[in-house]
Amino acid sequence: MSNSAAAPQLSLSLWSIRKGMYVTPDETLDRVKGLGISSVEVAGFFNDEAARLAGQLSQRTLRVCGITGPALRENRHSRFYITWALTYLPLFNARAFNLHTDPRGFAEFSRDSLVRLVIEIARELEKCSITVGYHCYPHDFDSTGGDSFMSQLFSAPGVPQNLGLQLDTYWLHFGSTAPSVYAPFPVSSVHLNERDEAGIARILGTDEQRCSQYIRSLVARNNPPANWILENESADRADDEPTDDDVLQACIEGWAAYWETLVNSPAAKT
Amino acid sequence: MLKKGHVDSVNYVYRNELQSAFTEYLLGESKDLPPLSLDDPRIRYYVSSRRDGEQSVPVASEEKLFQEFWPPGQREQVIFVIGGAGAGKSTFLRYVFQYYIPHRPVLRGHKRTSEIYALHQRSLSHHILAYADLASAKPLKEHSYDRLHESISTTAKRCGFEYGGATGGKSEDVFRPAITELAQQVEAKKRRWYLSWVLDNADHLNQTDLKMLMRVVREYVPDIPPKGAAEDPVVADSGRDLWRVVIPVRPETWLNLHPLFATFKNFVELRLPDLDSDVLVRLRAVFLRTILSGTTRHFETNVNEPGQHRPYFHLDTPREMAARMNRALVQAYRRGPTGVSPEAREVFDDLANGSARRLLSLLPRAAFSETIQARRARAQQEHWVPPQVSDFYFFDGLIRGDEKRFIADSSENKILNLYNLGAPPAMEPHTTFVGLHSVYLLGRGDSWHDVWTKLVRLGYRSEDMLACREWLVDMELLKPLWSSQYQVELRIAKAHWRLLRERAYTDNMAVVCASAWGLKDKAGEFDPLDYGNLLPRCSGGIWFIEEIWRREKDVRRFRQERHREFTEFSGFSRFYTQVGLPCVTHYVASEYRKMLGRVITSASVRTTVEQEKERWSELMARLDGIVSDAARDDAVKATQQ
Repeated sequence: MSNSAAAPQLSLSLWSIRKGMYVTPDETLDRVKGLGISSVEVAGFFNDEAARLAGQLSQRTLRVCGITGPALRENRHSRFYITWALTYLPLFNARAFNLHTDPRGFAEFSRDSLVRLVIEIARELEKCSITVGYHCYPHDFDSTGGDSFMSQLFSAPGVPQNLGLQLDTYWLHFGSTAPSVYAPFPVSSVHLNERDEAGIARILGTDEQRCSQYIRSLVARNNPPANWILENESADRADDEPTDDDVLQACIEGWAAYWETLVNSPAAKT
Repeated sequence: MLKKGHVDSVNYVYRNELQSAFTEYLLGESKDLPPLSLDDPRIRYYVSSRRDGEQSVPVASEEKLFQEFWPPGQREQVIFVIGGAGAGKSTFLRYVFQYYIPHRPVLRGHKRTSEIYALHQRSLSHHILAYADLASAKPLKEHSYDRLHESISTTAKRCGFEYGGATGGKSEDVFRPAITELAQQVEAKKRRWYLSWVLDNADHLNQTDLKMLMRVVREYVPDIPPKGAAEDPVVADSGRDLWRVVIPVRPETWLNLHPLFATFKNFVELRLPDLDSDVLVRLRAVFLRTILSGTTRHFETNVNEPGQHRPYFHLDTPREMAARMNRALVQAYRRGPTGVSPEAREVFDDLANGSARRLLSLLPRAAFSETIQARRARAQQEHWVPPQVSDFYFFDGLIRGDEKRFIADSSENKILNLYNLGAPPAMEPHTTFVGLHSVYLLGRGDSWHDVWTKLVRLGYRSEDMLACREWLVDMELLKPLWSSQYQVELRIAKAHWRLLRERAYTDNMAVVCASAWGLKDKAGEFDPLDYGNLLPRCSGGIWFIEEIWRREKDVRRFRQERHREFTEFSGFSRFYTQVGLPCVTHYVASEYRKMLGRVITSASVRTTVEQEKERWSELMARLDGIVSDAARDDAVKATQQ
């Protein structure tokens, strides 16, 4: 087995703490650092100039494990995403670029053209040693009426080696996607996200069905995801309600122990 | 239920930031702007009008002002530029001095090699412009002399004069020697100059201070017109020393202080025409695109789908964002098929009252509101029949902006909550009605003095009247003149009265008033984009109308201890009838009922209502009851307790 008991580095998605990032970015990043986080994922610049945000992260020695770009849209050519990635990834000293298609964009595309677009982007960025992750939503795994988009993408000719999936445990659970569905595909990173039925963030592993079952199979892989990214935030919390800080802290502090339970679970061992 | 998915909304925080940047840029002090601010949309307005030939009027004004400086015959020394608040007086002056005059020969079609061009350029080199910005320089005694002195000092230095004027000129005593010294320097150089003194934003001073300023100017403007032919531009060895004092004035001030202004023997008045707001909005949208395209701030959009606890993440690049906001701004102002209804636009225009400042503050509030953007996106998605944004959603966006509820004291907000203009306690019926009745009477043409007199006789407390006046002044519906008089901005008053009957206004004010009256649970905040909220939202609205009706009846009730001027009910009743106040509840409730009747014709709303048929019928019965009661009472009847 390739995975040791030592937990990989846990990164934090800045998007999941966006409320703080918009209002008090300095204090929020200090808090992130104080929680023991040393790697973050960037999605959006929180209304700041990109260079300034990059500087704020660098000052605190917060490494950027990946950057999420604009959603794929039918009216944007591959050149748009390539240029975007080559503009902003060097700024943050990042090597992973994440793509995604929201439902509106997904409806605009023909499957073939979407497959072509993703492969074109990944191929071009492969030349610059950039990893491309495709963030999966339920529609990407939907196989109603034939193969899912994911199947089409990875069965297309010339899929470059730098292309992998970015899984998200929230969306996997929301779309009732079984672990076997993504088992054949390479996974470059995972968003760790567990919420209860009301959408309130919970400590990872609270409910086997909402998070652990999706991670367990990945832990056992020979080529596991490079980045494990905590993205646990509650939905629709009012401004005057308590924040997710306690849950966030518990997830970070309990990450090593949680990892150990996953690695040692029977499913992972098999 | 209206699905909110696939709707892009401008990010809340970004919008706030952008709005403040615009406000600062557009309304900030001129010294913060580059000397030739052709990027400024207001300056562009004039340039574009000239080039495109869309508006010939501004061209006529600029040439007229130019003629006053290089006059063909008798010359005047004091030029009053007359225009309302926000009409663009300062912008016009900046445009003339910074753009039109330096480039006039080219703009007039003269070649750079022509003699006229050379003559003009020579004369320009003898034109000294002393610019003093008197914005916020009040009271005059403390600040204005400082500003005036600073302008003289800067001008002297720029012209290379040996100017040793006293520093720290904070009083008239220091300022007077300073300006005298500058005048002597002009003479001592044995070269002749044009000296133009622009007292920008002098219209911001109150009328008493303006009178003091006129006395100062009076001493430096000779009564006798300069000698010599005026047709030729001034040159080094045969020029003229002219003082040209340019003073922006508001029309009401012009009328009030006309006897004072007329003491200048050589004065001219130049009336600025109204700006074409369509052109201004279009140019502002272009400006917006220009500045946004230059940043690396991305435009983040969260797309929410019903039933999910997580939005989809999306980014637009600055260029994309700029294009979208440009479109949103233009469409929100467009009348007809792809914009808003002509009636809604008319109310909006009246709220703007011909002021570029108000227009540029109100429009982004509406255009970038989530309500309007979501409705427009949906209209486009489903190919709805125009106009794309109904009056309800347009007004809801305008009233709330980006906030969850209407915020009365927002600096961007130019809309009043007419139900809450009195002094505390807010529960008092007269406190609720003082704004409603005041604005109605003002909109009808009464002066503030008349309104005050009538309403006090009808039992309104002085504290309520004072609090109401403060709101009306803050929101520019009343403008203080001299001797405690007030200019009434009729269009703003009428627009508010018209807005009062809008369903969006009633729904929003129900939420705000319920909170102010300590009855928060009676009318909660509900997303108007979600049809599923129609019943609770209407329930709050109808409770509010009932509450207003109860209060209105109380205001009309005769009470000896309150209505001391009347010895008996009949006198009070006669006076109430004579004042001619309409029944506010009837005005509001009948429109509310009519609008709900229309809403129910929509299939998706019908489905929602069908699910709670009994509750809906009960609400409608309550509303019908008020409409019918209030209609009977609308003949303005006072009652006796």
